[in-house]
This record gives sequence, C-alpha cells and structure tokens, in this order.
Amino acid sequence: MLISPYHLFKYKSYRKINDFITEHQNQYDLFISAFTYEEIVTTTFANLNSNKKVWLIFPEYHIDISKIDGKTFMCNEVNENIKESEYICAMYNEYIKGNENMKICVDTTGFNKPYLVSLIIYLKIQGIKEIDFIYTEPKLYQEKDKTQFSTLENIDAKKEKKKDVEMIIKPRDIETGNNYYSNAGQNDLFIINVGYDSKLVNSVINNVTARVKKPLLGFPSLQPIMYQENVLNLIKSKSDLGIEENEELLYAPANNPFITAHVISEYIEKYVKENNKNTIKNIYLSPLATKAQTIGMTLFYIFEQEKYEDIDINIHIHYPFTDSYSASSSEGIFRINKYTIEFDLFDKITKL
Amino acid sequence: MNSTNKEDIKKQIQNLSTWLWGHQVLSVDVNLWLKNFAIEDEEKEELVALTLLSEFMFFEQKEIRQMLKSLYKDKFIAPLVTKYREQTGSYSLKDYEDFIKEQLSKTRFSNVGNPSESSSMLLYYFRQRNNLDTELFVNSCQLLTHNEKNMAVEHLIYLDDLSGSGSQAIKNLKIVIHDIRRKIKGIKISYFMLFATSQALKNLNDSNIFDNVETVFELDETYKIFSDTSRYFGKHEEIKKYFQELCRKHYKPKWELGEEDISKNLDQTLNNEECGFSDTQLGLGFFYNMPNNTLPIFWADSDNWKSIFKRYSKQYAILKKVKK
Amino acid sequence: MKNPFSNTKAVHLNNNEIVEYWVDIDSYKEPYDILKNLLWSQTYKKSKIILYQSHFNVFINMQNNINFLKVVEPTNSKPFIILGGKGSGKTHILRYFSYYSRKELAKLDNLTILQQLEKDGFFSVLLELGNFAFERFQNSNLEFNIWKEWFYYYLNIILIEAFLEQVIDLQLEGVNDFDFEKIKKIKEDYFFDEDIDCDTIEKIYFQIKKEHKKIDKAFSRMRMGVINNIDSIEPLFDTREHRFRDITYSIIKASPSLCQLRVLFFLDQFEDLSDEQQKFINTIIRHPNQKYNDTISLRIMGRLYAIKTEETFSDNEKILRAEVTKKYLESYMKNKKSYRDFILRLIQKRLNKKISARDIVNSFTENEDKVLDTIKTKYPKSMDRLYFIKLKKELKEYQKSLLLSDKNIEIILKNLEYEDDPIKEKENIWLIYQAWSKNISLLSRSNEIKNSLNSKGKDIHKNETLKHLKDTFYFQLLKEHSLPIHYCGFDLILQLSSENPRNFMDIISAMYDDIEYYEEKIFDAEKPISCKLQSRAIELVSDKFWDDAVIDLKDQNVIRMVKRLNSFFKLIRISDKPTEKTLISFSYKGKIKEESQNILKKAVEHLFLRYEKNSKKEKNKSGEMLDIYFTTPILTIKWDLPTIRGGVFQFSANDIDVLCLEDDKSWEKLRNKYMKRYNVPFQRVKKNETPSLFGEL
Repeated sequence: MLISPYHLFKYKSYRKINDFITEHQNQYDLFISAFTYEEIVTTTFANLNSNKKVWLIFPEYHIDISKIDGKTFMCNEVNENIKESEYICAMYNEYIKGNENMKICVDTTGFNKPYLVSLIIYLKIQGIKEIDFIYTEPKLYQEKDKTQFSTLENIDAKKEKKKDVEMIIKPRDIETGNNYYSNAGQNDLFIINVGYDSKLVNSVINNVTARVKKPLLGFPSLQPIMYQENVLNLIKSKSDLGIEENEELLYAPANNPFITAHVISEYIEKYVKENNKNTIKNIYLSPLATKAQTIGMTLFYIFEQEKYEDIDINIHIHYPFTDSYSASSSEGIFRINKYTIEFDLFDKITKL
Repeated sequence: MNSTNKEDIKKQIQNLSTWLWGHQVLSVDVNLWLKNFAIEDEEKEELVALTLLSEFMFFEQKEIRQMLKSLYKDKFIAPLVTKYREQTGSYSLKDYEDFIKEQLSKTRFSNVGNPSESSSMLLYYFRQRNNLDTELFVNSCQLLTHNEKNMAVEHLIYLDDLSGSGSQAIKNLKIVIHDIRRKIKGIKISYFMLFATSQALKNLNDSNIFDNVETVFELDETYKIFSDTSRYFGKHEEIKKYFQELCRKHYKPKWELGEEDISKNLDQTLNNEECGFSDTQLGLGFFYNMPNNTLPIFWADSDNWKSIFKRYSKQYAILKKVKK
Repeated sequence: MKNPFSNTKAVHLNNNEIVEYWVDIDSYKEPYDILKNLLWSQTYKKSKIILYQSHFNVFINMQNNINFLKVVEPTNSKPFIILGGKGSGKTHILRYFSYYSRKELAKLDNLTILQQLEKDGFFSVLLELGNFAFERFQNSNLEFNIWKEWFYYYLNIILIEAFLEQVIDLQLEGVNDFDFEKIKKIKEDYFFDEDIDCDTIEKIYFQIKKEHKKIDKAFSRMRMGVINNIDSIEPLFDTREHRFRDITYSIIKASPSLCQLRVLFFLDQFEDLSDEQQKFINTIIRHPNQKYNDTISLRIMGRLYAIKTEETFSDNEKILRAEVTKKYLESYMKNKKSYRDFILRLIQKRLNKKISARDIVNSFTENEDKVLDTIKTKYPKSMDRLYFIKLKKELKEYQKSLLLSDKNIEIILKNLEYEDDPIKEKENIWLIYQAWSKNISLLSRSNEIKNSLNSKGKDIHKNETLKHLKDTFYFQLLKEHSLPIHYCGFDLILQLSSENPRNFMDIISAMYDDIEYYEEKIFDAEKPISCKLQSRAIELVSDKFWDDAVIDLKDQNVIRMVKRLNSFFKLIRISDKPTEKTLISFSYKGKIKEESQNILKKAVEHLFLRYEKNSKKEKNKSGEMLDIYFTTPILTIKWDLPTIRGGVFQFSANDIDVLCLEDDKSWEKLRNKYMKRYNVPFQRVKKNETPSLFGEL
C-alpha cells in the first residue's frame, strides 16, 4: 500500500469537548475563531484558554458585534475583488506578524471558506512552520421542515417556505499570490467539491471553460444521510457538469482534509499522465462542501501548485463569492477534529 | 398542492433509484408498493410511505466498496501510521510502508456468524478492494488451532455490515474471543462495522470483549423511524404516531414475518411489539440484502404485502428479480 | 441506456467530437422555396420525370444558402461582432472553425493540416477572454492610467502567445519554410531590448510566455499584499502599439506556404470585459490598419448582452469610424423549415443507429388527450361542470344589476347546455359574457344561442373570435377541472426550442433520463415515447431555462417586469371573456422612458423576451408599424401560456413605464383596470365585486 506525505499529518478526534479542552488548555499563544451563533463555535471559544483569543467577524454574516463577548477583529474597508487577501493580510499584521513562532490554533468551524483558503496560503507565504486547525461537527443539524406533511396537518405550507432571496453570485479565483491565467486547453479539468447548493455549483462551472468536470463528494459523509443529499444536489447540476448516473466520482472523507488532499493529488497526477500535457493548461478546484475538505483542497494547492506551474499547468481555486451568507444552525457537539498542519512537511519527506 | 408534493417526492425516488440504487426500483414498482398503504386514508398513508421511501438509504456496490476502503485506510492503516510516526518521527515513506506491511502480516480479518452470511461476503469485497492476501482472512475460530502462524497474530479484526443493538455480535463472539485470548496472549481484538447504532456502540463498548470498536457510520436516534427525534417525521408527532399504529396493528399481520426476523424477549418469547428486528426501525439497505432491522414495510414479502426491496431471509432462498 | 444527448454544451466536447457531430444549417430563402415547389410539382405532373431531391438541393445551395461559414466569413477583411444567446450554438461554431478542430477535420478528410488551411483560406486563433480574469486589472487598486497600459500590453502578449503556440504546432506538423532572416528582423523592429534572445519563433514564444507569467505573477503578488506595485517589469515592446498585428503579420508573411492565409483572431466572451476594456478592443477594430487589412481580421463573439459600450478611445476626435457589422446568430435560425431540417440532422448525427427523419418525428406521440371525454365521464351532467357552476354563481351575484329573476337564470343556463360538447358550452358561455359586457339582454342572447345550436336562426357560433379561442378554451377546461396539461409532439418541441438548438437537445436529454424508470423507448417509431414523458421533459427544461436566465441576469427590475407580464398574460388566458388569440405578445404606441427601454432591451438580451422590429403584422390605428415583444417560446410552458404567437396586446407608452418601473401597487392597479375587460362584471360599476373563481395567481 502506497503511503503519501499527506498520510503523515497528525489528525486527532475528540468525542467529548472536555477532553479537547483539557488537553489544550493554555497550550496556545493565540486562538482564532470565526464568530457564528452556533454552540459548536461559541462553546469552544468560551472554554479554551490561551494567551490571546480573538473572534474574526466576517462582513458576509452581518453580525451585530455589540452582542459578542471577547475581542473581535473586523476589516470593512476592502476592495471586493481582493477582499479575502486584504482581510487576512490585515488580520495577520495585527496578531501574528513579528511572532512567527507563536503556537496558534484556529477554529475553522465558523469560517467563511474563501477567507480560510486565503489564511492557509498567507501563513505559508509568511513562513509559518506549524499550526493547529480544529473543525467541530454538530450533533444535530438544522432539519428542513417536512413541508410535505404540512398539507396533511392543514398548516399553510406556503408560509413556511422561505422567500427565495436571489443572491448575487460573483465567481472568481481566490487570490493566492500565484494566480496564473491562460487560454483554455483542450483537456482542462475542474474538480468540484459538491455540497448542498447546486446554484453555487452551476455558477462556478459556467464561469470558466474547462472540458472535464469531476465532482468530489464527501464520502464517508459527516452523517449517513448526507451522502445521498449531496448526490441529489449533484443531479441538479448534471447538465452543467455534463455527467450521467454511472459517472465515476471522487470520494474523500468529509472530515479529513489530508485524505481529501491525497485523493485530489492522486487523481490529478493520473489525469496529467494520461493526457498530452500541452492539452491541459488549467486545473480548477472549487471547495463547496465542508470546511475540512476546503482545508484539504488548499493543502494540495500549497504543496503542489508549484510543481504543476513548472509544467505550465495553472492551478486555480475558484469560488462563488457572495455578499451575504446564510448562517447555518445546529445543536450540540458530536466531535472535535484537530488537524496539525506542518507547512514544511513535504520538504522533509524522503521516498527512501 | 398535494399532487405537486407527491410528484416532487416521486421524482426524488426516481433520482435515487437511477443514481444510487442501480435502477432497482422502477415507476411500476413504486405504484405497486403504494397499494399496500390503503387501510384507512389512502392519501395520507401513501404520502407517508413515499416520504419514507424518498429518504431510504440504500447502498450499492460502489458505495459499499468505498466504505470498505475507508474502513481499511482510516480505521486500520491510519492509526498505524500515527503510531509509527509518534514512535520514530520518521519522514521516510518507505519506512512506513515497511512497517505497515509487517503489521499487516500479523493481522487477521474475520467474519462474524455463519460463513454464508453477509459478513463473509463483506470480507470478500474488503479483500478485493484493498488488494489483500487471502491468507489474512479467517473465520476466527481457526485461530484456536495451535500453530506458529496463529501464535504470531497480534491483531484480530471482525468485520460486519450492520449492528443494530450489538446483541448478535456479543452473543456470537463472547465465547470464541475468550478462548482466543487464552490461546494468544496480548492479542488485540477489534470489531469493525460499516453501520452501527449509537446504542450498539455503547453496548459493544460496555461488553468489554473488544479492545476497540469502530464504525464508518454511526446511526443515532434520529435514524430510528419512530423515535422521539426521528428525522423522518421532524416535529410532526401526530402523523408519526398515526403511522406507527398502522404499522403495528394493520400492516404487521400482512408482513407474515418468519421467526428468524423477529427478536426474542429475555424470556425467549417472540417480541411481537416491535417493528423490525430489535425494534431498530431503520430505513437502510444494501445491494446484497435488506437487514431485518429495517422497517419491514420496505422488504416484507407475502401474499398480502408487496415489497419494494428484496430481503433474502436466512432460511429461504428467493430468486432475485432479473431486471436487465 | 446511454444518453447520446447528455453533453449538449460545446465545452463538454473535445475537438474530435466537435467535428464529428458537426451539422451545418442550410437556410433557404423563401422565394427559392416557392420556386422549387413549383418546379417540382409542374415537372412531375407534366412529364413524370423523376427528379431527385438532391438535385434541387444542389441547385438551391448554389444559389443562396446561408450556413455557419457565412456567419463567420473568415476570409472577409472587415471585423465582425457575432452575438448569440446561451444555447444558440455560438461556442460550437467557434470551436469548429478553430485551428485545432481544423486539424481534426483534416484527419477525417485525409489531408495534412496545411492542405486544410489552404482549403479554408484562413488560420484562426481562438481566445476565451473569460479565462483571463481581466477584472484584475481594473480592480487591483491601480490608477486608471497605469492599469490601462498593463491591460493593453497584456492583451497583446496573450494574442501573440496564442498565435505563436499554433505556429509552433504547425512547425511540428511539418510546415517549416519560415524565412529565418525575416524572423530575426522581428526583434530589431519591435523589441526594446537588443540583447534579448529571440531569433527564432520558439524563442520569441518563450519570451512572450515568460512575460505573460511575469505579469500574472506580479499582479497576483500585489493583490495578495506581498508586494506594493508592479513597476519592476520592463515591457518587451511598446505597450501603446498594436504589436500583435505587427508580429503576426511578420511571421505569417515569413512563410511562403502560409503567407496567403488570413489570420483570424476570435475573441470570445466579450461580456467578460468591462466598459473601459471594451473600448480598447473597439479602438482596434474600428481603426483598421491598411497594411494589415489583407492579412489579419478580428471576430468579436459574445452573448447578446456582451456589448457594454461602442465607444473607442478616439471618440473625442471627430474621425469617422468604420461601422462594425453585428451579426445575431439567432437570425440564422429564423427560417422554420431549415431549422427543422437542421435539428433532424443534429439528432441523426448523435444517434448511433441510422434513422430516417420521418421515423424521428413519428417516435414522438402527438397529444391524444381525451379531455372532452374525461370531462363528460367525470361530469355527465352539464350543470355539474365547473364553468356552469361558476356562471351560475356569478349570475346570482349580479342578479340585481342584470335585472334577472331566478327563473331567468335557470332559463339562461338551460339554453347554454350542450352536454355532448364541453367546448361548445364554453363558446356559449363566452357569448353570454360578451353580451354581458355589451349590456345586451342575457336572456334574449341565450335564446339566440339555443337557436343557433339547433341550426335555427342566425348562426352566431360562426364568430371569428370564437374560432381562434379554441386553444384557450381547451386550456381553461383542463385547468378548471384540475386535469394535467400535456405537451408533446415533435413539432411542438421544435416550436418551443426555436432559434435555440440547445433547448431541443436538453429536452431530448431529459427524456432519456426517464425512459429506464418508466420502461419506455425513445426514437423507436414502433413504440413512440409517451406524451407524459415528453411533457415532463419539456416542463423540466422550461423551469431550468428560467432558473439559468435569472441567475445570469443581476437586474431584479427586469425579472420583475417579466414576471408581471407573463402573469398578466396568464390571467387573460384564464379569464371569463378572453378575446385575443393565444396571447403572448405585446406592443406599445408612443415613447417610453429610456429606463424602460433599457429594461426591455435587457429582457431580450437575456432571452426572457423576443423582439420583432417594425412588424408588418402589428399596426396601430394610423397604420404605423409597431415593434412587437413576445415571451420566449420555451418559457411559455413555465408560465402556463400558449406556445404559439397569436394576438398582440397593445399597451400605451405609459403602461410600459408602469410595467417596468413602478412599484407593485401601481402595476396592480393598471393590471386590474385591464382585467375588467375580461372578467365579470365587465362594467365599471362595482356591485358585490368578487374576484374571479381562479383568483389571482
């Protein structure tokens, strides 16, 4: 069985929040978390002590910071076209710059994805050696109400249906410092990590020209039912993706960034080998599922983007940016996952 | 409003059948099956039945194989890598590969229960999917034979597809595990499953006969169709109770379940109150069989009840409907 | 079963597939059609000579056919802008005429690529503008004067790079007769740095690629906050000149085998450039350089809404700029007959088996809905039928103002009865409503109706309006009695997908998705596909078309206008006394505000509406020809509207302003005003006013 560097990364899971807290109490110099109202985010922040703790406030969540306990960071005056890098750059300068050796933990659970991607990339650029990321899975997800039963109970189902807010979606590459653009190659590839929103999937697919689309699903999924829910969403985008039911999909565990990175790495390596290199100019990645898989996609990028740049293949992380983000809601804590990102791991690896 | 509702649910069933169920269920099958639900209020009963069917979790070969791969890589290999890294701090990939190879040679995978049951079939797919040597696969009681190879075994892993309560595994394995531990000192014994209810996990852990228990998917109370927190009914208590009564009183007699599909009470009498083995009330099935923990409305097959998924009972051999 | 139509978008096909599935459109001009038919019938009748269809086709083709080559006009020196909506086939055409597809075509025809190019007369370079994220230039906190230089330079760089990449490919294919000296001269003539290593084509390509990467990297690092500006790059050549033309010209002329070819630059996805950026391109195409006219041409391609500005940078100076021709792809598919042939051939190409056009058509069941039978079975007694129940209720409600006694009402209803034919009954009721709106005695009218039914007295059923309301009556019957509406038939699907081949392909693809589940067959003339399945597919595609169009357009005002309009048409369709035939079109007289004009324009550009300028069909009272707007055929399904154009609703200019710009309250007021024409009680006098039985949507 072939071991890849991604398998070496340290990954630990805690079923009880207390176990996590106890083990990491006062172990960090800096603890960063993205604010949302969910228990999975607020409980950890409240209970984990570290030298410094800060809440990141993302404008897309439209949060009223007067109601928040604890130090907050915001960055409002930004250029929308590069908002993620301006935000992260400002945040880094305020809390990390000059102290690159500090022990940092980031709770990624509430993050808005493009900022998470930008953070990981920025940390690599700045030469940070190691960082802990945590990702908490809730016990109960907000259930869609069973509107089909409402008609049996004479409840006005129309009222219950939320008004469809037409979101304006502006897809573009997340800025990474290594964004190269070129004409479309015959065999350009798009790996889309599909989640719950087919509108987002359609918007990214239709924004770039890439002939081959490969969906990546979180499987095993966080919850057993989620797999088929994701597939049902995938079906909504099938004509945009150009796929049929017997299509071979990519699978990686929904809560494991390292395997996700490995699966992507393995597939792309195989794909490039099988096709004439001159026909592949761009490979696009879109993280539209879990935060853990987003981290995985980004890890692949930071460790392997340059390798492909050298053979004239541009790797892009393409994302459907919006102004607003509907907050998810959940109850209870099921599992806390800790991922230790060693930015220099690949440099240390020997095949022998 | 009702008709478009039903149409949407039917469309979802069609999509599931096409993409995840290998076309096992066709439009005619659904219509035939719905005829079961016509005791008092056809409209209502059919709507509930359709809703339950549209959230049924059926796993085809592709998914089962992927789960077996995940079981192997995430629950067996990954801990070994972690252990090796902690012990040696090595950055040599070859070192890890060698270590795993060595550990693998001292590991055995076993089925649970009778060799002809589903667990054995899983072993086959597990071996195939993960490219493993046949000699790593045993029926655990083989380990009781005294020989050099057996004595060198350090890790025994049982593989099973579903544990509804854990009781079957505990019942079947308690004694043989006891004997194996006496024969092979310090052996680590694990129980790996694809699916386990939260209750089963608790029972298995509490039984203390295994060193570790792992599952790919955990099914909490929300996956029990008539539970208080059932995800199938949400806040609609009335409808849930209504349908559960129908199951108990009117549908059940029509299922004509065999004894092997009904669990026994402590006093060894048949549990006639339950809906599905051990009252697990699941909505789950596999391409090779329907577990009897699943609500029988889906798989019961008799003169008075049409199934939508086939269950192959341990006692009877029923030929599968040939589709293609 | 494999779905041969699952890949409807050009982007999903590789070049081999583009060429393999290629079908051209042959558009016959009408006079020739007539002439052809005439010749055929005359000749056949007189001399019974068997003339083959193909002979005529050749004759007609030679005369005046329009095909996609004529759209692109690759050997024409003038620049063109070619616009087409989503699904019109724009990318397909572009890809087909691109260099790499020509290579595939050459293989198929057993030619070398050079032979193919000679045959074509052109060498095309395709650039997808959307792949370059040009908004980077404008939105990276750089001043206009700075970013515009970079943008312009970058544009030249990528054009040269794309051109050179293909030239190098040609070299690999054996075209190697480039005059070395002429290539060397390029460096002297155009590059700043005398010492730069670019004496050969490969080396020039290498330098250009390097420069491209440098610029991308600099912008990226600046945007990431790693560096502050991009001053460190020294450009290779003058950023203000159209160097891509100079270099392209020099290279192509340096090869005797290539020098006669025209180099055609296709710039696709023009909509992805900002206004300012479009000005650059406009400047290039509107100020052609005489020297390069014979060799280099540009083709700008984009969606219907691609053009954000027509200005150039020299607009301040009063130079007459060359007008650039705009071509609309949809207009090439307006001819119904050639579109039909085109679609049939597209289908034949995609299917693995040989199938005749007739068999294709026959494999779609036509609508056999036995609506009337269903109603007669369900409601054998006329008075149980919902339209009578409604009428009775209305008559009772307005009894006083109509001066009718209970007995009168009974008589009226009795007179209108015609159990055997619900359509007839609908007609009768319509005549009553008509009388009501004209203040004619309902009682005497009902007697006339009864007489007419029994062929006594005047035949008032011989009414022009009634004739063209048949479709509306059918629809109302279905809706009233909650019966499903089925859409089917090859020609209907053709009609719905007019000017949009992808709609047709998507509908077929959706049918394939269902056949296994419903155990049906497709493209089997022996077992035609059921109406139900066709209907499902059509409804699905209609919904998706709407959803996609809404996402594409970020303007809520346009969406609101379209929703209002279509809802309005639907209300009329289900009203008591509709008058226009299959109403999905409108016109207006007078001048509307510029804002409204914009909204209508956007609606057309984003495929919500179609537009017919100065239609002969529509004239106002003074004989002036008016513009007509109508709902896009595929959307009529989603909105429960008739699928074929008929009458045209005439708004006033002010009405249009309300429709487009005013709030819901004002629009509803206007709409209700019009609805009074169509619904009981018709008069302005409000007495016991009740909403129509079917309510507002």
